[in-house]
Amino acid sequence: MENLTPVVKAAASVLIHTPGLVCHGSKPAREIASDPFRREQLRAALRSFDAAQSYLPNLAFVGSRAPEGLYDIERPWFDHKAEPAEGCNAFGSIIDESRFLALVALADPFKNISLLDRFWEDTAPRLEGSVVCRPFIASTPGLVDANGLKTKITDGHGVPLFLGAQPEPVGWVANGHVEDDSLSATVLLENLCAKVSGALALQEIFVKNGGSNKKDIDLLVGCSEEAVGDRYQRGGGNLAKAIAEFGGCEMASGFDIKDFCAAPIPAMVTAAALVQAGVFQNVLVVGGSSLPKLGMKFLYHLQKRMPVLEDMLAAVAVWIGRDDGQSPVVNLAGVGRHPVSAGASLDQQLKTLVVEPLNRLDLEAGLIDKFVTELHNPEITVPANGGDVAERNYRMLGAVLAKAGKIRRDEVAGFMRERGLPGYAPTQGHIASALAYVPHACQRLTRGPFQRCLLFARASLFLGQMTQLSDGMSVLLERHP
Amino acid sequence: MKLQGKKITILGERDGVPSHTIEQAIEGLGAEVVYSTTQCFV
Amino acid sequence: MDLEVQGRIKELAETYGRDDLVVLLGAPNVDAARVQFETVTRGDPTFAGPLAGVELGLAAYHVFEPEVKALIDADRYSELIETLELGLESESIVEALQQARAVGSS
Repeated sequence: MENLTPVVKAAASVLIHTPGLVCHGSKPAREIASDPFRREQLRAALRSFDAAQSYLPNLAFVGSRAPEGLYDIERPWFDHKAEPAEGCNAFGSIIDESRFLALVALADPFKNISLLDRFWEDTAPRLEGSVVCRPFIASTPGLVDANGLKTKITDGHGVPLFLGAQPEPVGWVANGHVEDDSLSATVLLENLCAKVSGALALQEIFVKNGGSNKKDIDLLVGCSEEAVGDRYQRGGGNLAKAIAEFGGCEMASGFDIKDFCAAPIPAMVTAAALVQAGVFQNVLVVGGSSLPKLGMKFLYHLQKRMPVLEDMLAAVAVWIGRDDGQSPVVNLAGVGRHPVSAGASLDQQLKTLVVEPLNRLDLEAGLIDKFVTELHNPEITVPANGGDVAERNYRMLGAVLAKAGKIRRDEVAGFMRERGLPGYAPTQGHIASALAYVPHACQRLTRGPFQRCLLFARASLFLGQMTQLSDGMSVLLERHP
Repeated sequence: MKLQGKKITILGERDGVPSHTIEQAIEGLGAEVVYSTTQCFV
Repeated sequence: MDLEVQGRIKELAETYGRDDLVVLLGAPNVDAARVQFETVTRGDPTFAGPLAGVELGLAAYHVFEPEVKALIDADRYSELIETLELGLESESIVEALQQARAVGSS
């Protein structure tokens, strides 16, 4: 009989440095609209690509450093120049903005994006030179000359594309429909950024796992936070299939799973369940980036005279397939869910997502090497009065586990260092929510010393104003027996 | 401080006490919740 | 504090009167609790929102504060809030708000 046990065959992550896109983040766009001087202030506080490449949390994200190293490095981390790690990261690349903008234009089948012809001429050879970007050059993007671009800007009906802090635009995104807000230029740009970043993470999987064949992929499950659709089906979805097409997975279909920041966990659980049920053999879970979250806390960063650190788009891809005798197992018997009756508070969430599955599996907390949850970089959130999200999660989890008798009271204080992780991910919602750590988890559950990682994520459903509740889900990854 | 007869605005927070939890806690105290929201910073 | 929320609170204060409106806070840390308290009492300290320069002087309490705790049935408090109180910096939050209140009344 076939062994249908689902395993994580590979995982990859990608970061894209997009300082020029920060002005299209939700908060910066609103602030610039009400006070155009904000654009100048923002520009003056953007980071260089070198700075982004040598930023310690970014290096932890792409796997050239262990995240735990951050515990012993005093903040500010942005002042601490590490060796840039281009080309030798364990999990994926840090991509620069010019290549990314060119890919965004290439990924736009409706040619709403026009790139300045000179910019494309300069950038196309750089795409050719990148093993990750090269496969996407199957066509030519929409192009415009300098005069044509000026005319578009004068006419309006779209938004300009900037490269870093350069004041002159290098492209234009036109509205996709004159009277449909769901297809406005900013919505299309957001969706295309999620599409391209997701496809880059997918591509990293195949770059890092030579010999694997894209044609073996049956299904993509999307877990990004965008809402693709027109006015009659806002959020209609299936960005996954668009990513499959752009990423060259010809035999794959796709669908998206929506659950705010928690979506990657139900996506991984669904993918693993489809494999275990024998429905599909190889499923890719892909989380693309979140453009609206760029610069969300930029006013605080400006006020504190810091660089605007929310300038990174991030994406992760996870390949779930049938048992190969070596990859970490997705233990579907250990899935934790957050029922309606558990309300919205963090302690209740942790009880249902962590304590209950541990009890069900009769596992001691000490048998879990890492509890993995929201790993937002504290250097971004603390200056905005948001505190250290990872630390708060672990402090509460320590308290909940102690109350449940899973750890001793005297273990609470050291719980984060012992069983948790410092925040290192860009504030890209779902990406920071455990998904960012999956490549690390795979590495440590195969070549490293780990036996088990419990991943859990939380969803702020109340933001959509349909309920005051939250949601969440957890899943256990185990070393292959 | 009394809540009896008062109009209540709740500013809950995802990682703190969410508004849903505060609403449950003050139920039956004779106060009317006129606005209830939960903030999320990430 | 979120500009939309500031606008709503300003409207509510106008509709129901400042004396009848009570704000209950659930912030997880001192910084956020203090900013929210300031905003609904002495006005938006960042001068960005509708409450910039507007001293509503509303009664505002964090649910961890003894004034609120005393009103809630002990069993219910224990079930709903106690673990959160233990896991968050509740003592510092309570202290910070009491200090902020004392400054306002001196």
